[in-house]
Amino acid sequence: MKITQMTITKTLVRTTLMKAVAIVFAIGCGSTVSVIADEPEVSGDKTVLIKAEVIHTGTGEILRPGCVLIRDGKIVEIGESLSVEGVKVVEVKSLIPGLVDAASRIGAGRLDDERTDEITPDLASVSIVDWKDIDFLQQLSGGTTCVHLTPGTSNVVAGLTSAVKTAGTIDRRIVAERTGLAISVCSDPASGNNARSRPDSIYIRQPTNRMGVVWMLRNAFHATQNDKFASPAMKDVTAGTLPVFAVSRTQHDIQALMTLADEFSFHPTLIGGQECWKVTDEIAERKMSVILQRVIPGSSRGDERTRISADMAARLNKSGATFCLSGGDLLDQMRFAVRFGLPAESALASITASPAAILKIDDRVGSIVVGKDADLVAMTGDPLEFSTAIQWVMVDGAIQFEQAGN
Amino acid sequence: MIAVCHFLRSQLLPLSVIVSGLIPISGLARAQDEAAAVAASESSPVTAEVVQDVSKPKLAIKVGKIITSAGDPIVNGIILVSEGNIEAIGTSTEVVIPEGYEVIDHSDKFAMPGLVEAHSHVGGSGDLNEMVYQTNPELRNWDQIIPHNDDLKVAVAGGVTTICFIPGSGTNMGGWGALMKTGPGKPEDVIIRAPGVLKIAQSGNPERQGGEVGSGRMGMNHVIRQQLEMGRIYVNQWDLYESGKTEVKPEVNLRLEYFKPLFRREIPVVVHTQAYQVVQSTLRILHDEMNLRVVIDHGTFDSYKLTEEIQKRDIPVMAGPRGFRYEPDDGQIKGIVAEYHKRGFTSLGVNTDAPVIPQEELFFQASMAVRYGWTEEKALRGVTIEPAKALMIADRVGSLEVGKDADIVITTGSIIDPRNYVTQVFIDGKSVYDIRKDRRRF
Repeated sequence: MKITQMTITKTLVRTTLMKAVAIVFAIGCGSTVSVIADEPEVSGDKTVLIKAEVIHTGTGEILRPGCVLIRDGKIVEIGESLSVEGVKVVEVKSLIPGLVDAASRIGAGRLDDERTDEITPDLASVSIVDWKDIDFLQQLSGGTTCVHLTPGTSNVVAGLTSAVKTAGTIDRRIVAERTGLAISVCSDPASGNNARSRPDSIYIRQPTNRMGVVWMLRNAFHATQNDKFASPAMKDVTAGTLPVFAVSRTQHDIQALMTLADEFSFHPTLIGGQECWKVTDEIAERKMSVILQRVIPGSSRGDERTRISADMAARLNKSGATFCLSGGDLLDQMRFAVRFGLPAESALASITASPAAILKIDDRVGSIVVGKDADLVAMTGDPLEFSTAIQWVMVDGAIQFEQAGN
Repeated sequence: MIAVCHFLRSQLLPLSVIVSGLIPISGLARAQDEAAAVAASESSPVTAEVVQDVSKPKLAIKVGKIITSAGDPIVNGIILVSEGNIEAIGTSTEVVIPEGYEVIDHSDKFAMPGLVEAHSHVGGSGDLNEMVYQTNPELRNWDQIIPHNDDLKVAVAGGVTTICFIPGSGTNMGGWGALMKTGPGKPEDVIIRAPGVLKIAQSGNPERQGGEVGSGRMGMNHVIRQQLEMGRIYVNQWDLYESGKTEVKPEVNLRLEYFKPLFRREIPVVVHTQAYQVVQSTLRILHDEMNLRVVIDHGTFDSYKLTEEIQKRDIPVMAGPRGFRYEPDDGQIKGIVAEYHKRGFTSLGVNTDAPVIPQEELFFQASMAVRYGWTEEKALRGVTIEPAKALMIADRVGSLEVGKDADIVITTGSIIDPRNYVTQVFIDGKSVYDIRKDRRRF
């Protein structure tokens, strides 16, 4: 078997080993488990037909059986049965869209937050992506094909977010350089600053608490209104052409965010939202999208001592709010969300179509629909089933990860 | 603050001492004795037609004795509640309970207005002091409100239904505070007014050590004056423009916007000011020079020696959290509120500076003051209508009168007596605490 578009040496070594195991396994078992019928040599202009016993498109639609025809890394045709002459055919049990992680910091240097200033709207997360970061491979192996990179929360206005693929050639990996502006409506920006250190410290500055955070945001928005030399990102936000992603966790910070949004007429998407379950009605009423930060099963306290509730996703879903899960291990997060009440039929969308729509990159990723990127995950069965494993993960029509033995 | 708190707490006397030192117990027996006299009073109930709202039930509360904070107590009274407001109040012979009202029988209890706290920091998250700059008129604290939080749940059980939630005294001008109810709801439901007050701390906390102006009282007075003057000029420009005296529209300065209601005397400044000399400069700078509505929020130590000057300017004093002072001249312990009272001062109340004194112990600040020579009648006003007037919200809270918010506290007797306790609390006509259903919290 041959893997195309390989950019990661470590991956090459690792996957080659896995493939060796896979082949042995396949021979040994007489292909009882679905394995790749033929190597999908999908580079350049190659065309591949994937035949699945079931396709979960991510939008709630299920094809049983289903076929997907891929050409030049794009999905060109979908149907219950397609017959195309002279193309490679790959058979799998079940097929889901590549997962989209809507709040991530992988591959974008965790130590690179700007420390000298609080209002840094034009700093770009995409500018520091390490395309070879091992975290990308880790996420890829869990089915995640696209991540939304956000700058850190140590600044009040942190900078520009971006959406990138977890694998593939660098020229195709940037989905959107500028998905939105990240702001921090929480206590994080205050944590490093103080009022009483050495007089020459750069950390003697606002904010030192939430009152300061709110003020600096108000001032930044207000100052943009009449300043022709204002930051391009702030101007775009004010003009409504650049979305705002706000990190808020406590109920009062979420409410402060709503107050700010009303005062300066922007429509933020919430990241974190640990206590959003207390205000689901307001969130739904405002049509505020929520990117839920990972809920760790068994803990009742989240960051900033928030009271978290394991059924947050279910509550948001019930209220009619648009939401998605984020923060890695998306398949298991989805299964836990179902355990705590999220209806099975809404579950897959919360890690595929919903995050893509929230990030406004759903013209390219998030569902198995004609015209979209061929970012696909082949699985051994029902994705909601805990024992179901990933067989391979395809990005832009090329299999970039393959799990031995599945 | 912890050190201060510990100091204050350690000075509190044991409960038994305080109870034995109280004036005769205001129990139900006394209430019944007064029945005849009150029945002859000429107050007549007023009723109004209202539209039924299921979330705001129509209630008829029968009470043994009603302390109204608006005149004499009412014995064997009835309070009608509708649309969250007091619809009628009077004796059981004066008030007829209309059809469809839920009757709540507290015939063996007292009712009083919800207590009003003039100085509290427990209305939200702990983000009290933003200390980089000495004056911070750009800051506001109502984004951090957490309605009915753990502190406020107990406060309700202490009868406190309204608080003045303000930034801390770490800087000379800590920012703008909000007036809010202590019951459950969304922030917009519980906020009475925001901006509710400006917080200024004149000295005795905001002193700077970092090299900028404000290490001593002269410097601090200077930066307070300078910041207020900037605000006054700004508001004046807008006043001229809005009254048509100039066509030059001023530029909006977000940092100075909230000075508008302050200089228009629509909201007060609550001042952390305590010793004689500091209160002198409060009167001179904030009242005489800046013409602001001032509330002396603390006014402890020997400030009572300025009673005449304070009275002359019609400035209310909400004393606390410190309640007494050792007087070196005669070696006596002086109750601060009692000293104001002895000098004929009436716009007088107490505060807790919660969490310095727990919010639910507001009544106990008054109990202490009574122990040192205040009267119980004044003390009841000093935790209800007097702070409401000082905070300029007496049109809504602070007394039980027709048309006001139905913030009603049911107690086993006068709340000033620590042996009595709160059994039920209504805020905006809704029961938010009832020991028959809830665990008794305090």
